Amino acid sequence: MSDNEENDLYQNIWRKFIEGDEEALSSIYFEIFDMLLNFGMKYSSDRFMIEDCIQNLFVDLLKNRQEQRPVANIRFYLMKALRNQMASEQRKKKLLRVDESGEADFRISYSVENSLIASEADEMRSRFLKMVVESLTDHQKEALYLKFNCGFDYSEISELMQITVESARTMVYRTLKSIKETFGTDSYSNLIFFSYFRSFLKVSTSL
Amino acid sequence: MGKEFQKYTLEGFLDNPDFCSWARSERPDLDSSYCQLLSEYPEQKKVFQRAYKLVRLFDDEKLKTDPARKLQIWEEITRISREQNNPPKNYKLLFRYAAVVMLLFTIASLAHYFLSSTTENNFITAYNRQDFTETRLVLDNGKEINIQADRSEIMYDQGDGQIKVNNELIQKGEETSSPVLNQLIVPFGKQSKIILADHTEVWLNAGSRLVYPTVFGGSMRKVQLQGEAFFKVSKDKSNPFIVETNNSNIKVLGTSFNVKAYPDEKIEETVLVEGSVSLKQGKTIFGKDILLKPEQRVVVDGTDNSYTISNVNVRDYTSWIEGVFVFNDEPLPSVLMRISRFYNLEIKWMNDAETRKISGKLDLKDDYHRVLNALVLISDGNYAEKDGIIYFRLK
Repeated sequence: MSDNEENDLYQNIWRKFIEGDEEALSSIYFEIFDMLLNFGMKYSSDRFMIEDCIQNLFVDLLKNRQEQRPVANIRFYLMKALRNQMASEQRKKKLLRVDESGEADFRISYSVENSLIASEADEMRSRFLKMVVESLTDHQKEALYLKFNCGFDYSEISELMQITVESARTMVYRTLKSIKETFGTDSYSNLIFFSYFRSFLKVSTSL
Repeated sequence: MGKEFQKYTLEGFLDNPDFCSWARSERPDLDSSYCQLLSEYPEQKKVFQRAYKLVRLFDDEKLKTDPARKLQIWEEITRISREQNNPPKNYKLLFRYAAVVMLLFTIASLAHYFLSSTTENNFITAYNRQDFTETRLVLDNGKEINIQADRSEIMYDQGDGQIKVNNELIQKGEETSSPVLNQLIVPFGKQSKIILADHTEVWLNAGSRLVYPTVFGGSMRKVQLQGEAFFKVSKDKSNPFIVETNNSNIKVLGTSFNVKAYPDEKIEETVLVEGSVSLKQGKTIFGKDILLKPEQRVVVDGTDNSYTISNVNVRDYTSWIEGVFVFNDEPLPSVLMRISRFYNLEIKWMNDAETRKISGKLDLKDDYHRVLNALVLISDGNYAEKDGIIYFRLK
C-alpha cells in the first residue's frame, strides 16, 4: 500500500473519531503503534519512556477530541505529537541527551538484511555503505531518514527539525551529493551493488 | 513510473514517494514491477540499486510490540481518559434525541422497503451465468483442457510434474524448477476435486475458480479462490498455506476448512473443521487477524469488512462435497442461490423470501425438479418455470 492509500484510510478513521466515535481511534492506535515506537527509538533508547509518551499522546487525543480538526497527514501529525511528548518528557526528567552543539541526539542503527545478504563478502560490502552514511552528521541522517523512510515532504521535515523549508531541501540535496561523490571515488562500490542486486533478483524469481 | 524510469537519477528515485515506500516495504521482492522496468532499462541498474540500498539502510531492524502489551497500554489510555473526561451533562439527553431520530428513520425506511417490494417486477436474480458449461483446466502454456464429467478429479504430481485428469495422463512431467500458475474453472452445475503438488486436496463447488502454482516454491503456498471450496491442506509447518479471496487472506499450516467467497455475494464465509486458521479480513493494513477454532464459522461482510464468529455444525457447510446440501435455519435466498449454482439454473425470488428459514437435507443426485418440489414442501411456497427461468414465491 502506498503512503497515499494509507493516509486515505487513516483520514476516514480520523473523521469518524472527530465525529465522536472514540473506538475509531483504537484502530489507528493498533496500526501505528510500532511505527511510532520505531520513530521514537530514533531519538531515545528508552523504550519504556517512549511507550509512556505514546500512551500520553493518545490520552491527550481522547481528552481533547472536541478540539481535534482534520489534518492533512495523520502519520506526520502523530509523529510530530510524539516528538513533542518526548521532548517535554525529556525536559521533565532532565534526561535530555545533549551533544556539544546543544541538539538532541539522532540515533540510527543499521539493519542487517539477513534474508538478502548471506555471504561474508556481501556483509563486507554492506559495511562499506554503512561507513558512507556513518560519515554524515546526525542532522543529515535525520533529514534523510525523515525523507526516505517516513516519506515526509520538505515542509514536514522542516517542521520536525525546526529549520526552514529551504534549509531542509538544501540539507537533503547536499547530503545526497556528498554520498554520490563517495560512490564515484570508489570503483569497488559498483561491485557491491552488482552482487547485492543479484541476490535480490534471486529472491524475487524464487517466489 | 513507466517510461520516465530511464531518466531517473539517484535524487530522482529518492524524491519519488512511491519508490521510497516500495523500497522500505517489508517484502519489496513481492512487487515485481520494478524488476520489469529494470530489465527494460538495464542501464539504470546502478542508480536504482544505490537508491534502493540507501533507503533500506536507514531502516533499522524494526521493533515489534507484543499485541498483549499494545492492548494493555490501550486499556490504560481509555481508563485514564475516562477518569479525566466526565461527559458533559446534556450528553445523555443528546443521545436520547439521537435515538428518537434514528427510530423514526428506521421505521420510515422499513416501511419504504416493505411497501415497495410487493410489486410483481421485484424478483431478485441469483447470479450472472457463465457462458461455458464444461469444467476447464488452463495450463501455463495457454493450453485449455475441457472436462465433460460432472464430477472430475485432477491430480498434480510433485515428483515428476505430470498432470492426471480422472486418472488419465494429460501432461507428462516437464522441468518443474520454476513454478507457474495454472487455473481450474468449474462452471455452474459441475464440481471438481484437485490434488495440488503438495498433496493438498481441494474440492471445488459449482461456479468456482482456483488459481494455483504447479509447484510450490518459496516460503509460502498461496492459491487464489473465487467461489466455494473445501480444503484439506497437507501439513507443512514451515510453509504456511494461504487462500486469497476477494476480501480476505486465510492462512493455515495443515488443516481442513471450507471457504465460500462468491463474487456475487456480499459476504464471505469460512468454516473450520479441524486444526487452526487465521484469517486477515480486508486486505488493508487495518485488517485484523481473526483466529478460528474448530467448528467455528466466520462471516466477513465485504461492504464494511465487519465480521462475526459463531459456533456451527460443520456438516451443514461441508456436506456438499458428498453430494448433499444440509441446511440449518438458512434463509431461503441462500438456499436458492446454492441450488441455482449447483444445477446451473436461473432462479428468481421475491424480497419476502428472506424471512423464510430452511432446515433439512437435499440430495443433489436428484434432478432439480425433485429438489425444488422438496423445497416447495419445506418452505410452503411454489415455483413456476417460464422461458428457462424459475420464479419462486411464497404462498
